[in-house]
Amino acid sequence: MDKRGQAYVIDMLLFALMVALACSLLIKASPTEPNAIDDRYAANLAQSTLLAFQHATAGELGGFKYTPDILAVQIPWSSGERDLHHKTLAQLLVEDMFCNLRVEVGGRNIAPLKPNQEFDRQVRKFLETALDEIVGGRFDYRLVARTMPIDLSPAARVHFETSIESFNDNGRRQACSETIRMCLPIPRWELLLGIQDIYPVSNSRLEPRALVEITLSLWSK
Amino acid sequence: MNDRRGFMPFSVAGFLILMLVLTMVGHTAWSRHQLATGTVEDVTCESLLATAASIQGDLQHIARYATYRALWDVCEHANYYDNDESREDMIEWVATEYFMEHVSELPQAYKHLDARVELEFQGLQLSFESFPSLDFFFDLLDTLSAWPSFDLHLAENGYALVEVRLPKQTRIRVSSWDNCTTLALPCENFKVFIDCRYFLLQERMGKFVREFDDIRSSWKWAEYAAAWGQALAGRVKFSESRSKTLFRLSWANHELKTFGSADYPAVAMGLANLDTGALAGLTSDANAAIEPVSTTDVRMMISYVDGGIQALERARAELMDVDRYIEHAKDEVQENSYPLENVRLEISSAIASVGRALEHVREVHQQFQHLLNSIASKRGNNIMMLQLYDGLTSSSGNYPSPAGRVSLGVEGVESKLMELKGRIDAQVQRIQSSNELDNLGNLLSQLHSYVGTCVQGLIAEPTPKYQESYEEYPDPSTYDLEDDPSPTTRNARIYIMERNDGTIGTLDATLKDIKTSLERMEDVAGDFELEQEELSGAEIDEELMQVLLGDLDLQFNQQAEFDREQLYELSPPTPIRSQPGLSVFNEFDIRDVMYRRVDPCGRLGGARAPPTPIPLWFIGVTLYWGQWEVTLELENKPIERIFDFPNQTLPRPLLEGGRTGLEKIHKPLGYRFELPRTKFSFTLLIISPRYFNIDADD
Repeated sequence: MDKRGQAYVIDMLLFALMVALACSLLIKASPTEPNAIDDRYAANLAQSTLLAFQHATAGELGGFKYTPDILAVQIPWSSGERDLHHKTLAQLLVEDMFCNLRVEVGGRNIAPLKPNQEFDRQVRKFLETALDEIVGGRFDYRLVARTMPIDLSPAARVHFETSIESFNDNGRRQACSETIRMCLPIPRWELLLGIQDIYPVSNSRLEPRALVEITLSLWSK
Repeated sequence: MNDRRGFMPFSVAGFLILMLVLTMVGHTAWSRHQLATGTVEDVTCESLLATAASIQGDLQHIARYATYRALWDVCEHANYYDNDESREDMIEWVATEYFMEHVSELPQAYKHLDARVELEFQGLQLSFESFPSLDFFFDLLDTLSAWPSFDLHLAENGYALVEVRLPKQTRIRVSSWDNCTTLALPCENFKVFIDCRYFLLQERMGKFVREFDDIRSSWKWAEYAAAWGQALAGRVKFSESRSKTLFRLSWANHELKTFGSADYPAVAMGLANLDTGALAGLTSDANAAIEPVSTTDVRMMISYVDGGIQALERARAELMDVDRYIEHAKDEVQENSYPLENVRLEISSAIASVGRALEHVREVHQQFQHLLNSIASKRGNNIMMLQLYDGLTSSSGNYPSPAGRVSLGVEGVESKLMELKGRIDAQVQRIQSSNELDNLGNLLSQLHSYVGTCVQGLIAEPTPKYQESYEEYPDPSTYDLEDDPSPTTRNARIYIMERNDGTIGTLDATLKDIKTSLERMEDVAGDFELEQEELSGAEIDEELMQVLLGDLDLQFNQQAEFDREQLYELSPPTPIRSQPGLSVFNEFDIRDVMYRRVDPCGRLGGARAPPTPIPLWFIGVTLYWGQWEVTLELENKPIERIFDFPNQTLPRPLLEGGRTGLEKIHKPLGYRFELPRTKFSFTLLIISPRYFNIDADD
């Protein structure tokens, strides 16, 4: 091959290399991420759902009633049923925690002797139905509500946690997770007195304020 | 081929393509970056807004629970406040204080969990270890402008709405993680609906307290119904257990009227110790038994008697005219100045007057018959009317009955008037056959003498044919407890024993005596009607009676763990009526019931003395009168508490003030009122036309 031929081959090779480089750049740059749009929608939905929890009443979602099982005796002159249709969903959740706070000592719950379990059961059932209606068509969900644990000693704490979820598979990609915080409606001194009834704790050991954290996480179906 | 002009190597073309692509990619990347930056800002803003909105929601949530607690605290002692306004003011104060207690620590708590969040609350630093005293509020008066204010308003159906005004420049400040975006949301006013009917409870309890004396009226009605029933059966006996039962029943009746329910489980739990026998017969029919006779009826009877008396007056006047006509004719003839025709006219007028007098006397009989018919028409089951009819028509002694005396009297007067008329007619015949003026004068003198004697006999003051003495006590209308209750002796006179005793004078005296007795009866009826006014509308509700006497299958063993009030808090009784849907609790113990006999015979003879007689001698009726001052005293100030049954929405400790740890349950708002009154009394008056015995409680 003469020199002209060699130059021509090199020229072609350089041309091919540059075209390949240009193509790879175009390929790399062109696609957008579909998940990004989905996540944003999910985040918006989760935020709206949590806001709806704070403002929508149980009555607007078909009403909420329960009959407490906390009393060991059936009182014949009363139905005992509580109709809480004016309460917001967040209120129900916070009151569920308020009525079922536990003192855990060494990993074992020692209080209360009579938790309001029926209320807890009914709240979970009700919220599950509500979440199925609001987000269940598009996303799987997990709602976790927990108190900020109040440590009484290295081995003891006051807490309550509840979760409502539509699936069990944790291996999937989470679309979003949104959290709101609310006060637990109990004054510090009353909480202290309640705890002191069942576990010796000094005034100074108690956290200043009990808060509840409600987290809603969504997964694409 | 050797011409190389216009030749461009492929590598240059490739370079140019690469440059072009690089430019495109660069531009796309830049555009995407711009888009991503915008999206991040959008997402950040949405997230910040959502966070701020959730904090606003939390503030409303805190305000709601602060109000719940304030309502509970204040309503526990609702009677501490002078009026509704001061009570509402106190709720607002306490709610503000609870709100501040939460909110003052909120910025710190939020900051601790999420550094992006900042709450600006005008530097309030307050915390409370227990319920604050009133001094606390007064100490804080100077800092009021920095405090939020709670205004409690009435919402629909008695629910409450609280309007919260936060101090000016209260803000929620939320920043993005990179601090590039900050959202400061002013948060000064919001409204929170409170799902319990505080205003309904307040309004109903206010009504209960305002009309509290209705309990006494209903109790009085129930005691009247029971005692009058006994009086008609012939034996009156008061018993403490009956009075206690009737009082509790009256209390429940007032509750039912005001709240639509009563504390009926107390009965089922055997706490009220009801004497169920005492409840029988307490129906609206009892009203008929309580009324002896109405003043209207007695006035109507008196009007018939008055009609008779007026007819007698008219008869008397006619008879005086007869005498005058005859005297005039006689005088004219004696003075020889009168034409015979005129004499005849005078005598005819006299005869006409006698006829009219006769009509008037017959009217007396008619009026008395109207009286009897009117009483007969009202007899029915009215014991008083039966007795009165019997008294007027049946003889109870050695003398005719009042109706018999009137009848005999009218017949006697009729006979005398017929005889008078006959004598005048006979004289007229003789006058017409006589043509001599002297003889005419004699005849008229004789006639005048006869008519004068006869008229005088008919209208003269009567002389009693029979007398009887009886004792008369002061009657209820004039009776005063300071008076001497001893009786006075009176004489009853009978003027007509037979037909011949009948004159206008004796008839008039007889009717006036009857009228006197009826007027005394009217006084007694009027006196009772004053008492009865209070009984009107105080009947015990029959629905309540059905609930209490019905099949109350409420087998229940009281839990030692709770007292009754605590049990009601946890599980209030289903209201008897669905509207307004309030459950009721009451607590009071009756210490004593006293019955003080105050009618004259009772004062003289003691609790078991026979009733005081009120002899209405001239109508043949004796009323028997018993009077008592009945007083009931409670051990302590009674407690009334109502619960908002459909809204058991307040999360509260299982046992208030007790050691129940963290056990909580939803309870209804209870409105508790301690009533100041512990003494209830009334006057019980029995007036019966039948004699009854009186027993004291053993």
